[in-house]
Amino acid sequence: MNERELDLQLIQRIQNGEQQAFALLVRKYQTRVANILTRYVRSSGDIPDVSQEVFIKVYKSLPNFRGDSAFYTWLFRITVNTAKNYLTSQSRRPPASDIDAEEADSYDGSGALKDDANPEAILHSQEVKQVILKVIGDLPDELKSAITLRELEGMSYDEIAQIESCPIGTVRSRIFRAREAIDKQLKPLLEH
Amino acid sequence: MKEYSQDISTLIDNELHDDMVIKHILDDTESQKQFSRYQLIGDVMRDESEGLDLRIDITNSVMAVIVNETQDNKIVPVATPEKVESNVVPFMKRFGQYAIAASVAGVVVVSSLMINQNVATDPSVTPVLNTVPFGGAAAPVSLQAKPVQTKSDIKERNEHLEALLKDHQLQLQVQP
Amino acid sequence: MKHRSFLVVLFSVIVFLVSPQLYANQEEATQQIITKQVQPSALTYLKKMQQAYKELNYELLYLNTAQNQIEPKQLIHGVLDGQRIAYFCYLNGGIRESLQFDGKISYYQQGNQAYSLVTNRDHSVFANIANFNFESGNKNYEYLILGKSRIAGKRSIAIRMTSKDMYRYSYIIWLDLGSYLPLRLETINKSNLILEQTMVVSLNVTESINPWIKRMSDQKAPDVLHLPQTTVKDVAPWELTWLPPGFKIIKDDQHKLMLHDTDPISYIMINDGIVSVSVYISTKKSTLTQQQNIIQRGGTLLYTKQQENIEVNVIGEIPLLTAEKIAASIKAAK
Repeated sequence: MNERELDLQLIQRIQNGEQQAFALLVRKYQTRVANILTRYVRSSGDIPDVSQEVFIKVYKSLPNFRGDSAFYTWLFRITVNTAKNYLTSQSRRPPASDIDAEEADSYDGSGALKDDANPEAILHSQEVKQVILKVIGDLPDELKSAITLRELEGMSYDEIAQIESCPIGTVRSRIFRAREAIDKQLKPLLEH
Repeated sequence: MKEYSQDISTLIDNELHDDMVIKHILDDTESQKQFSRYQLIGDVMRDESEGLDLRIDITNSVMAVIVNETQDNKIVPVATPEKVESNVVPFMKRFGQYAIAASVAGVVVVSSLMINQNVATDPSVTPVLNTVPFGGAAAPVSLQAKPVQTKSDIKERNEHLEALLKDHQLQLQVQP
Repeated sequence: MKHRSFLVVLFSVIVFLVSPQLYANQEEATQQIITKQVQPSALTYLKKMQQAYKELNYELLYLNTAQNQIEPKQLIHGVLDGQRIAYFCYLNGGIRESLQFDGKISYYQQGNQAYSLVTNRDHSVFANIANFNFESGNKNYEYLILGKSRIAGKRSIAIRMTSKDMYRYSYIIWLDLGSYLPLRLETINKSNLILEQTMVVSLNVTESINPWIKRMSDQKAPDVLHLPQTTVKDVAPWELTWLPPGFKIIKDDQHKLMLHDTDPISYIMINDGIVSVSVYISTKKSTLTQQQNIIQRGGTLLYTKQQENIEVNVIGEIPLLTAEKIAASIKAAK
């Protein structure tokens, strides 16, 4: 496996006792975990709590992680199991209670039905998305292409270099410049 | 900071093996946030942020639980065989859950720090300490604090009060 | 309104006392006495309430209000082979629920491992008044029927439990005249301001136990958490030289605050049968400069005082005056 793979570098550090390295795994994956959870967790207000539970489980089971599957696959499995436990705990509520009727459809598959969608959060999330897409749209073509191949197609620098017929160092710097440009607009949106 | 930005970008793309860069990020809050934002850019491009509150970052709360648990594990004497009484968990191992004991009881939890932002600019506003009843919205409760105190003093103070309140709630739970 | 009903009661008591002189016809006066006797006393109602609360199968939906915050909650209570089962749940926000049964209370919360605490005390909403010894409690409280009203669609009777001194709060309790279950409880201070209110909005009494909580009681409770034991040697090196009348010390130890790896703090708990008050005494000086700090939410007070080289914290549902007097009475134990 690629020794440059960030997940493995971080897991190794954690397994060597450097607990803090786990923070980067959380930072890297929290959006993806939350995104999986939206398919199961009806109340969007509960997502941070359930996400936290997922990462704590991941941390506790890391000593058992053998690296024979990709970390993300493993994380995905834990996330889905935690989400299912969440659904079970929801159904622990008595059938007699009036709120229970709604619960039958807590697994709606799409995550579209949220009973407590927070309008402010939605606005904010839309703004973030618009800003990112706008900046990408305005980027010079070679930067736009580099970041798209990397983020959407998941290509390595080597593959992108072949497609774009340029040195790997150039790919690295184009992707960075694209991120830097987006980050300039993004940063103020995420600071309060 | 600048010189690390590109390294962070490369690291995210699994194209860098450099212990110093990881070490730097771990030691530097700004770099960690930058790491998060770079990551978020990809998440948004892949439409993985749909319907999420992007203002929420759970990293610190996860790390707080982990650090706590590890410390607890350290205090548990090695000689205690954990499996002997399978239905009994040493209380000290359960710090995190203890907080909930208090909360479930329907308690006042003083939030760790919610100082009114206007304090510095508007002298007529009394510093406000929000009490956050478990799961509810925050309600301002007037705290007789003098403006000369620094935020970190007040934070420490509130944490202490919160610890006392939680202990009080726990004592109520197990009182004879 | 409350004042008026209070006056009405007071007035009828006066009429009753002076009636032999007022009524020329002795028979009429006797008639008056009989009607008075037919109405059960406040104490009788309160005792019926206690019995109903412990023995009936019921479900309550209720609201807790303190400082403009309303929290809807649910309680399902049942008795199975003489054993009480109580299920509690917050109806809004993340799921937080508890089940008390067989000497344990178990807590379940989204995102956290469930656990149990060993306890023989009822922790449900009206437990404090349901377990209070109203008979011996009349040293500190007076019970007075205020009048009838309608709560949660039920005919109910309001009883005021008035503190005889200024060191504790008073309460008004509404009971369902059908089942005698408590329907509403208000904590009021001496200016008759309502500090906290619990109001039932739906009451359902059933003949047999709710099958769902019956099933819950068959399940294995989550692991029990044990508090670190304190020993006699750990008795707090401080003593209270004043206690509000009717209060007794029920705990006296030194322990670390959970979640915080502090030095052990001296701890004393006092209780008057309704209210439990925690007193914490530590030598650590706070970083803050103020001598005194008061936080109040609903009926609960958190009072902090720096005196000489100690910091005292008093927490409980008591008036400020009481907390001040308790704090001022602290002396090093001999």
